[in-house]
Amino acid sequence: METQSQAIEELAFIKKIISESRESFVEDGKPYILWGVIVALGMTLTYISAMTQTELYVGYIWLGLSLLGWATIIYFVKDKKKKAARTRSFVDRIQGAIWGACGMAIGLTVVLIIVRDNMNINDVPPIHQYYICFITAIIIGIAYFLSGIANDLKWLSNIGYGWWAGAIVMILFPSVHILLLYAILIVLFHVVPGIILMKRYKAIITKIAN
Amino acid sequence: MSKYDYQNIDDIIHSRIRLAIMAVLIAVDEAEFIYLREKVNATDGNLSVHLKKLEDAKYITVKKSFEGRKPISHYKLSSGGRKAFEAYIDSLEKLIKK
Repeated sequence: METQSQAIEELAFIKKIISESRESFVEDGKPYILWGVIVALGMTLTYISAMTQTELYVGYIWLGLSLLGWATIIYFVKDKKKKAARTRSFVDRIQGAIWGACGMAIGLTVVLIIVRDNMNINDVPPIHQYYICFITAIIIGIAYFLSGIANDLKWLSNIGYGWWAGAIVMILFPSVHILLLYAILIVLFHVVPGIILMKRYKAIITKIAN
Repeated sequence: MSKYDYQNIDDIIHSRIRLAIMAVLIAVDEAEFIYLREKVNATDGNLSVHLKKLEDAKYITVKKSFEGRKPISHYKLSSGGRKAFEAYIDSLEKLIKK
């Protein structure tokens, strides 16, 4: 005959399975670290170029870094698909949609502001390239805020506030130094979260394997 | 027999393997046969039988596709299955509180 203790045991069994199944979708942090290092490097070189008035072929450096970034991301996605082909979670899809949409918005911002920096349209003055930093910081903040909610990680959501605070500084104190500020922000609020996510991922994978 | 008697709960779900399958499918959006087999630690034959029972009860849906020449079955919880699972959890909780 079934008893209360059996019901408790059954609930614990269900909880364990659900939690283990959800844990297999944890972010591994690799794309965060990769893009963080690439952007930090690009921003630092751009800053050095601007400060020392030396031609470092910044445009080509950014092009090269972006190509390297995208090539690696495509490799990561293919690798992840190979490993995770056996299942798909709602959170996984939401996470992909958040970063996909924000990535698209960032790409458009960068390209369109670079184009508009050299053009007067209908007497509206050009948009300075510094605005790239301000707008992309706002977008990255949104991505972090939503990602944290989707993954139920409050600390990840809070990183969004860090990006928005940085964006306020960028718009209120526009100068060449915002390039350096952006490089610092990307290390603190992109590379470091990536490392935390990677450590968390490894700990969970080890726990599941044991 | 009282309303929340444990004997009254859903017989389809009330089996360790089927319960495990339902719990995995609650946690993920969609899962392949191999993934379910690993998660519930069952043999192919045993898992197939239990999946068929859940499918017959319309608690899960199956979508078959091919990856190259390899057939793949994707299982998903139906809305009826989700409701039945929630009712099952509810029954367990009520029994514990009794």
